[in-house]
Amino acid sequence: MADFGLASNGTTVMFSSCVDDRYPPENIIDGNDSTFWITTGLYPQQFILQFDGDIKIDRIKTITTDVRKLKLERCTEKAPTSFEEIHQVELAHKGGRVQVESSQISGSPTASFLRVTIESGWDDFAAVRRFTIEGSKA
Amino acid sequence: MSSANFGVLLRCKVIVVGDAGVGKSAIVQMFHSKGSHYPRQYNMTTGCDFVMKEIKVPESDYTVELHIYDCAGQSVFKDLTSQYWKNSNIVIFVYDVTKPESFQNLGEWLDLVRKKCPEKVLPGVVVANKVDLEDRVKVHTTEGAEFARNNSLEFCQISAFRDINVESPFSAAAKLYSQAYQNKLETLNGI
Repeated sequence: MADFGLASNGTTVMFSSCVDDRYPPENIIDGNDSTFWITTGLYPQQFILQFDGDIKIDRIKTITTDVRKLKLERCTEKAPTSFEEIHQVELAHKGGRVQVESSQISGSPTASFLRVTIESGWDDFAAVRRFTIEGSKA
Repeated sequence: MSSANFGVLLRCKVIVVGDAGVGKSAIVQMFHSKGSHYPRQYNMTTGCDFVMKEIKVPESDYTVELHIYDCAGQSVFKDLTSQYWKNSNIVIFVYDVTKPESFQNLGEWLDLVRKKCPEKVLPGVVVANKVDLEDRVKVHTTEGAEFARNNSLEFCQISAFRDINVESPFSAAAKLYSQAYQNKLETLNGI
């Protein structure tokens, strides 16, 4: 089972709705849990991952801080033009401590892009350290 | 704070509350127009007016884009305007130094904001407006400053009409917000 949440497996961040250059969204896919991407105020905030070809997503594990509502959408097109929701979750309030969440994605959907929306947060700013995307090449 | 030139834009939702007629809209419009537009005729705000303006935080690399919701002060609109308070980051409480009841009502505004935004205690600023009306001042500086201190809020004295210190509550809001961001980064880097 490969992890498609890693740059080393060909995944790139093709968009993020906000950026602090000291904490870029590429920190999400660098495989290092001590680096992070942080939102810079107001919700929702988004980032889009582009995979190296189509993949099947079985499970997603997230390491975050102060994320409340999280929505995951997939795109199967060659360009990120239309998205379909595949999962939604509300994370527990940890008072600024690390949130670790693991979600089975029903039906193992195929995706060429994954759009992640932080719809709301538990604090003014939320951070994402890691998105482990377990799956296989489609 | 680092002296490196990283240039970060933060976005912040600010709500402006207080009794009707204390000058909330005048303050917001004077700030938004850089002192060029003082509304000479009173137009009661119904619901909420919205303006957006960027402000640089001095001696830092942060710029804060303030999304300012100027909320109606009439009690009849309280239920309506409080719907706009969701997910606020900073609150600005305004009173009129010539109207003691507008100062006494700040406690009620504070309770209402905290009830409607229960997730966290919002940081904010208490603004004493109309300080140019020196001979009619009924609420003295010490009272306003004490209320602010007791509620962990900043305090500013301004006159929207005379364009005195109009930027100060918004500068204070931007500074509070950038400090919150900086504190968050330090916490995250410490985990």
